[in-house]
Amino acid sequence: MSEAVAPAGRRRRQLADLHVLRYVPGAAPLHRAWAGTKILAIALLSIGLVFFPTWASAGLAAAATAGGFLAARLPAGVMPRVPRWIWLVLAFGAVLAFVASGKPYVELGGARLGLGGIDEWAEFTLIGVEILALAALLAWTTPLSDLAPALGRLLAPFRRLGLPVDDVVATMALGIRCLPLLVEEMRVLAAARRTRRPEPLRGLKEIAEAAEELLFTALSSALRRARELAEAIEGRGGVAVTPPETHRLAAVDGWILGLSAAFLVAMVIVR
Amino acid sequence: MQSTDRSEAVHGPLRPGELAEAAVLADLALVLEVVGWFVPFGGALQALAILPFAALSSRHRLRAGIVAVVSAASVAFLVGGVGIVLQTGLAGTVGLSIGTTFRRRWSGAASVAITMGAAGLPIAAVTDFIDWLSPNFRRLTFDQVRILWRDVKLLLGLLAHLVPTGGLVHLGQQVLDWVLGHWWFTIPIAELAVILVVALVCLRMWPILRALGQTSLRPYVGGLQERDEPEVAVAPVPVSLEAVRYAYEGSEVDAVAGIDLDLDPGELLGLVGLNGSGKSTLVRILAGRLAPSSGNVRRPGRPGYGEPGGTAIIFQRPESQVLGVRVRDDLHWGLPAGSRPPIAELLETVGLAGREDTETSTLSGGQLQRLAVAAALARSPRLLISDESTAMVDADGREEVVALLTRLRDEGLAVVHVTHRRAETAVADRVVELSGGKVVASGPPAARRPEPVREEIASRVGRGLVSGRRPLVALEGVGYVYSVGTPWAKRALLGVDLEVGAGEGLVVTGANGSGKTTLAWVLGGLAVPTEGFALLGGQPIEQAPTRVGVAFQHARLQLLRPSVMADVSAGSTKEAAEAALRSVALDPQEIGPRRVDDLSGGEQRRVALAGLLLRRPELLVLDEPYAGLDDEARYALALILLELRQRYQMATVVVSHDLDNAELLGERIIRLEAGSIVAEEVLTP
Repeated sequence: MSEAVAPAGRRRRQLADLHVLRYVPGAAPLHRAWAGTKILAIALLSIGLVFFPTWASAGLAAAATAGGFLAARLPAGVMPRVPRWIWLVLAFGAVLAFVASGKPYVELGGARLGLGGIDEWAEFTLIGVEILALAALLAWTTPLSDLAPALGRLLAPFRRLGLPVDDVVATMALGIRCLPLLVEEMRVLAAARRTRRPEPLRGLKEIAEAAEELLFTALSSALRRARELAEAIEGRGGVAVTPPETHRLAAVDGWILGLSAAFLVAMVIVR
Repeated sequence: MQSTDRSEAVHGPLRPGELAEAAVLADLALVLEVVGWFVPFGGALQALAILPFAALSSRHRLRAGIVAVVSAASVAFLVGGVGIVLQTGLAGTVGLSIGTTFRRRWSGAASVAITMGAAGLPIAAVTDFIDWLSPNFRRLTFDQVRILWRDVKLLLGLLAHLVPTGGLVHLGQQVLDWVLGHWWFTIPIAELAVILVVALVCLRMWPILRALGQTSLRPYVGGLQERDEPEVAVAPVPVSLEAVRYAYEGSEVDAVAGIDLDLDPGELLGLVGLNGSGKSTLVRILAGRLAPSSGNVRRPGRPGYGEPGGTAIIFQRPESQVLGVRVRDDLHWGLPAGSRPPIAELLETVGLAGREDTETSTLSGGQLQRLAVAAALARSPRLLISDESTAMVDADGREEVVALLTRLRDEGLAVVHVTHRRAETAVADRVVELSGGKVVASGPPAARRPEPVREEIASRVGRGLVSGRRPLVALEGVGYVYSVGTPWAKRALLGVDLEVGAGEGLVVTGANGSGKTTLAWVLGGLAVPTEGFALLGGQPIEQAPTRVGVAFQHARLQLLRPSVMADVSAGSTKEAAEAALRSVALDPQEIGPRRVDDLSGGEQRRVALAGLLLRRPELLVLDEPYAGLDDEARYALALILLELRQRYQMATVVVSHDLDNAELLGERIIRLEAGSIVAEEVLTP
C-alpha cells in the first residue's frame, strides 16, 4: 500500500541518511580498544595503501577491513545506502576501462579480451572504498566523545614544539559537539529553501546564485551560534581542555597495533 | 561593542570568540566536503568549503584559521580517511590565504599571489614527493590517464572512416608520452594552473566576506576584562544599581534608561517585560558584562563571571550552551586540569542523576537547561541569572527549571529569572517589570491582567468555527521511520489519520520526541511518509510544493537574501512583496531596507512568513511559531493567522509544545504521544 506513495527508491534522501560519525553501541573487541589505537591503525594502513597501491596491498587491506568488521560484530544494516548515481558513475568508469583494453589479454571463445584497463580500474576503486571503510569502522565502534581526548594524547608530543595542540583539541571537541546541530541546521536550510523556491534551478547562473544565498545564510546562522557558544564558554571561566584521557591500554590495543603494523610491513615487502 | 581591530592585538591561546567560530566554521567546511561526495557534481560543493575558512581568517588572526584547518582535517580523517583530509587541507589553505589578504585589506593581486604561494607550491611539492617516493602510486594515477587516452584513441579510430584522424592520434600519443615522461614538471604545472583559476574565482567571495562584517555579525570580543584586576576578590552580591543608564554604540536610544535596583543573597527576582524592553541589557550589567554608560553599580567585590563563587548566566538557546559531547564532558569543560567536580552530586541536584554518559545531543531542551545550571553550580556561583532560559523549553521543562531556581534561592543564592511569562514569576520574592528601559512596576507577583486584544482575537477565533469545510489535507495511516533498515532506525510516527479542512486552524501539540516536528515535515511535504498516504487535494503533498508553506522555528534559515526587501521580493514584484509584508503587520517602508540579521527573532519569523505568503499556499505549517515571543508578539501572530484563514481560506497548522495562548491559534487541537494521536479536542477560547 505505502509503496504507492513512497516507494523506497524514490524516498527523498536526507543528510541524516549519510550516517556520518554514527556510533553503534557494543562491547566487541574493537569497541573496547582505545580510540587512539584505532586512529593509529587506520593511519598505518592508509600509508600502505597510498604509497604502495598494489593488488597485494588492496587484498591485505581488504582482509584487515573484513577482520575489523567481524571483530566489531556489526550488523549488516550499518552499510550506507549508496546513491544510485554513484553506481552509474562506477559502471561508466568500468565500461570505459574495459573498452580501453590493454595487457593482460585472455582468450575467451575465440575473442581476445584485454583486461588491463578493467584491472587498473578495479584496483583504484577498491583502494578508494577501503580507505572509506576503515574510517567507517572507527566511527561505528567509537563514541564521539572519545575522539578528541584520544587525539589530544596522540598530538601531545607536538606541544613541545610549541604547536597549539590544546587549541586544536578544544576546537575539535567543540566541533564534534556541534556537528549534529549543524547537520540539523543544514537539513532545515535545505527544506526552508525548498518551501520558498520549489522550482528546479535552470542554468549555471541560477545554481551559483542559489549556492551563494544558501552559503550566506548558513554562515550567518553559524556565526550567530558561535557568538552564543563563546558567551557560554566565558561563563565556564574560559577555554579549557576536555577531560583528561583516562582510557587504559589493554591487550586488544596491542593486537590491533601489531596487526596493522604487520600489514603495513607486508604491503612494503610484496610491492 | 568594540571594533574588530582589537583581535589584531591578541596573542596566545585562542579566546572563546575565536575558538567558537573556528569550531563552527570548521564544521561547516567539513559538512560541505562530506556532502560533496554524495551528490552529483559534488566537487563544486567541496570547493565551496574554502568559504568558511576564508570567513574565519577574514575575522580573526591566523592562529584561529590554522587551528580550524587542522581540527577540520583531523575530524575529516575520522569521517572519511586520508582522501578527504587532503581536500580539507587544500580548501583550508586557500581559504586562509584569501581571508587573511581580505583582513589585511591587500589587493586582489596579492590575494592570488599569496594563494599560489601558500597553497599551490606546497601542493605541487607534495604530489611530486609522493610520485617520486611511490612508483606504484605514480603508475596507478598515470594508468587512469592512459585508460582514458586509449578510449579516445578507440573513438578516433572509429571516426577514421569519416575523417583522417591518424595524424591526431600520433600527435596525441606523443604529447601524452611527453607529459607523463616529464611528470615531475608537468603535474605541478597543471596543479598550479588549477589553483590559479581557483584563486581568481575566489576573489568573488570578497563581497560575502564584506557582508559578514556587518555590525550584527561582528566577532564576539567578550565582556569586560575584569580579570585584569585579580587582586579584587570575587563577590557579586549584594548588588545595588543607582540611576544606571546604558546606550549601545551608535544608538541614540537608551537600552536601559535610569534604573535603581537592589538584589540580595537568598532572593529570587522576577524580571519581566516585552522583547526589547531592556531586560537582557540590564542582566548584562548585573553580571558585570557591560559597564553602565552612567550611574553606579555597587557590589562588595568583582562580579566574577564564570569564576568560582561568582556569577553565572543561563541563556535562551539550550543547545548553544552545552559544550560537551557527553554530560560528563560538559561538566568538565572550563575547569582547571586535574579538578574533579562532584559530578554525581551536581546531576542529582538538577534532577539528571545517573546521566553522566548520556550524549548531550539526545537531551531535551529542559534537560539541557538543567545541565547548564549544573555546569554553573560546579563553580558555586553566588549570583545565578536565567536570561529567558525557559523561552524555548516545553511546559514540563519550564516547570522543572523554575522549581530548580526556587530551590537554589532557598540555598542562599541570589537568583534573577528573566521571562516574558508572568505565570513563571509566581514563585519570585519580587517582580520588576521593565518597559522602554525603565522600571514600570515593582512588587510582589501579580496575577494576569485582562487584556482586551487577547479577548478580541479569542472571540473571533470562536466565531470562525464552522463545520462542513472543504476537505484539503488527508493523512491516512501515516508512519515515519528515520534511517529505516539501519541500526539507528527510529520511529517517529505511527498510524496517523488526520484531516484538515480549507480555512481550518489546527494546533498540534506533544512533548519532546512525540513526533510532532516530523508530522510538520510530512504536512509540509518535506518528509515523505515511509508508510501510508499524505495527500493535499488528492495529490501527494511532496509533489505539491507550491501549495504548501512551512515556517520554521529558526526563521533565520529561511531568509536567503541579506536585506528584508531583497529577500521577500526575490522571484516576485516589489508591490507584491510590500503587500505581503503588510499582511504580516510589518511596515514595508520601515523594515524593507533593514538587514535580516539586525531583526529580532519575532521579526525574522514574520518576514519569513511574508516570503511564504507570496506563493498563496493553501496550507501553512508553522513549527513552534511562539518560541521566544512575548504576549504582544503572540497576539500579533495569532491575528495574522486568523486573517489568513478567514480571508484566504488558508488552512494553518501550528505545531507547538507551548500552550500559552494556544487557543488563539486555531479551533482544534490534537496531542501526539510516541508518534500517534492520543487526544483531539475543540479549542474553546
